[in-house]
Amino acid sequence: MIWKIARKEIAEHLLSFRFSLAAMLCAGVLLLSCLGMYRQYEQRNRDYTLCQARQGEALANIPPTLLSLFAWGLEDVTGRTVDLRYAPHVMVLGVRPPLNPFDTFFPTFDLSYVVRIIGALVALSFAFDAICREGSNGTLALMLAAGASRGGILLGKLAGGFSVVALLFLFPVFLGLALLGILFSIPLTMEVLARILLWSGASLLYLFCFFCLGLLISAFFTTPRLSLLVCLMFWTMLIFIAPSAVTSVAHVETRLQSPVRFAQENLFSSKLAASQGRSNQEEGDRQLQKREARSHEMLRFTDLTLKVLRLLPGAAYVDLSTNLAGTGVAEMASYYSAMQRYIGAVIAAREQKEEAPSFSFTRSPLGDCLHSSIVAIVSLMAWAVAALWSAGVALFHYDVRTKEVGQL
Amino acid sequence: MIRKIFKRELKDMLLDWRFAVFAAMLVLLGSVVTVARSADHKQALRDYGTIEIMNSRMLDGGLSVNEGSFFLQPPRRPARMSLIAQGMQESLMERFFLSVYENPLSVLYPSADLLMVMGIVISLGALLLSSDLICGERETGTIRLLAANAVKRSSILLGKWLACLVTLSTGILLLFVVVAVILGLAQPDTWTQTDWGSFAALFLFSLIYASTFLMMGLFLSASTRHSGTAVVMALMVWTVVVFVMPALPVYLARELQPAKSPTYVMISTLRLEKERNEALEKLRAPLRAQKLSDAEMDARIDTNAVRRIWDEFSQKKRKVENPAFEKSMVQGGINLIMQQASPFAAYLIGGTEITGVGVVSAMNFTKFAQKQERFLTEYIQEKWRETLKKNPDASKSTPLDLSGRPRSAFKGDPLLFRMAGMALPLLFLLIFNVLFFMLAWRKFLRYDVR
Repeated sequence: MIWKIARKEIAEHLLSFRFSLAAMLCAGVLLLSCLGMYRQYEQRNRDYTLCQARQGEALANIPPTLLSLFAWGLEDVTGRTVDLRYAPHVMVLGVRPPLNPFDTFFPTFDLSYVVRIIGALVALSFAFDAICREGSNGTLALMLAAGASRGGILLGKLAGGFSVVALLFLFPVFLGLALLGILFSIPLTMEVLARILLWSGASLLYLFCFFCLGLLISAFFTTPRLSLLVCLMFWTMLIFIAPSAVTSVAHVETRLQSPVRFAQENLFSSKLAASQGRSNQEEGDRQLQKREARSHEMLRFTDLTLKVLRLLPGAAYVDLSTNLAGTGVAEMASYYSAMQRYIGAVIAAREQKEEAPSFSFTRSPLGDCLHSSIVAIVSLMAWAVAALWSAGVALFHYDVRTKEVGQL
Repeated sequence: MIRKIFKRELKDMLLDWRFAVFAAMLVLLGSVVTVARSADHKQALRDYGTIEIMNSRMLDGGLSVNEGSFFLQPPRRPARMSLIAQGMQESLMERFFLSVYENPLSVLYPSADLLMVMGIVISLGALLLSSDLICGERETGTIRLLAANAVKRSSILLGKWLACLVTLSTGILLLFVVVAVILGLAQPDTWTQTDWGSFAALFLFSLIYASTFLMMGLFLSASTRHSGTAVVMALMVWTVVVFVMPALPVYLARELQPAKSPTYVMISTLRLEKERNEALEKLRAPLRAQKLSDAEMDARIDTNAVRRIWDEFSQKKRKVENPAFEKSMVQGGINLIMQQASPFAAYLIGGTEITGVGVVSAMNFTKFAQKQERFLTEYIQEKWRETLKKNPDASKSTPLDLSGRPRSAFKGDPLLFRMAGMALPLLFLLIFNVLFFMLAWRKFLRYDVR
């Protein structure tokens, strides 16, 4: 019976106007994203080549990763540059704000952004009326009368509806990658392929969460319109508001100083150093210690906030996809550690009047990326299971009679 | 007749649960975001207070001519209305490069503000409320009755639009009242009359924005026969307008005007500085060997050679910086025009300008800061000349007494200035309104009510 219902669902969706529109939207948006992000990656690569360290220069610049196509994440922030010409006053330079103010005004249009926002919306739009429309049409009562179990109906709708949503996303993504491969001859190693497949799996898990959430809302409300509005409310709340509120609250609670204030305090301290009888060396060491203390404080804040954020599906997906692409917080932390070691090495070299060593950094292997994503994966799975189980309970209590009479 | 249709529609809509959900969503989400931003803003104000005190103590303590000009630039107070819209203030007014210790979560999970919440919820609510206004009436058969009573189609359209707009205005007004109450209770900052004027202007701007999406919904409704189809189309159109269209011009602008990255400019400038310092050091080396004081070295160094080195450096620096800056400005211009094609982007850009956290406002402050820096530099030079007159052997690292320095504070942008920044997005929104009304009217004139 489940298979029959699933087949009916697939056929209905494939022939619907909704599918045609969603297919056009997903195909267009995902292909545009692939192309746009690849061009951005190329630009970043060119930039990296131009900014490579010359002999004697202490620069901690790292090449971009091709996987930033999937999740840009902290790519701009991780490949940063350190300049230590003025050692022992360690000078750390970060990314300069873009000259074009609109560069960062709207979010980066990577594939994860498309899946996180548009994908979730499409998944909800395919699930919001799965139960309540059948209820209001009276077909739910007919299905039950024909011997279908409520659990069977739910699973059939899940299998049918979700396979259509998966098709809508996977097909354009792989088509886009194939086109990029043909047009730009992208070298795809086994590791990159494995990461792409894992990213696809993570995206499907995320879409599955929202599809189950849509089913749950559909089983709770009697009219499709109300169900749609509630779905949209949850979508806005889970994707935009909750992550932002969590970071704001954490920021205020931990009372972290703004980077501008921190930098200003350092300058002030340098200025006062001479009058307070501190030598340049002492002041340099003091500032280095302060920087380390602040970075530890920041990492602690990041760690704590991430623990809460990972409980939200949108934020968990961002964490998971950026970790898989090697552009996440874990990667940045390891870049940061490498940079700290490098600073030490450069200072030691300067003290011995030697040339600065070159910076080397290897991105984390897939196993480490997966390890740092375990919480996000478990969180997404828990959301999916909880939503599906609740949808089952709601459908079990769904009164098919009253609505049918009301509609008629 | 418009009045009758308006009254009936208004009553229907205000009693509709869709309006209830829309208003609840707007007020709930708006309140959460305002409370969160208020707390953030208070912290930003505390940070600013400390920065200002340090800056002032730095200058009071005396600055030598040798020291960098950093402290001569006044820090910018967080804009009072930045708790409504974060805007571009942070990226434009950053006095330091973003440090590696910067919070990575702010990049991954950018904070939402009231303007963004309004942009998303109002557009969605407007489209969902209006997408079945025509086709929904056809499904129930009431539109035939209206047509049979010789009601003009333009009257039907205008009556419905007006009722929908008043309904949405009620929700938006409710949000603005709740936000004003939250600001009154939390008191994150003291608002001036200009800020309250901007708040009112933002309300009106939001109504025009809502009207744009209402017109779009009416057009979709008049283009379809079934309300289900209209709702699905409305959702898809909304997704494209809100999430896809604003993001694309950035890539397109980069393709049309490829510019070197700020990191490249920064590294190139540092390399040029290194070259310059090495050249200057070569000149000073023989004098340094004679163990001369700073003042003696300054007097005996080949000034023409020094000037040549500096000129060469400035020329090379300009060659690196200017093309990147000019191309980025062209990119910005392309973005600004192209992003207006999305009413959502136009609303966000206009909203940031009216709240004083947009590009125009940032440029206004930059002008003020540069002027202030120039005044202080001239003042320091004058003090240095006075010191040299008194003590010809004075070193360039001697702290100068700057207690009588010229002081002035940035008064913020006047309301008219902010409104001027909003003019272009407003114009685009009005054009969209007229365009979609004409399209909806044209479709509705040919609509088969049977």
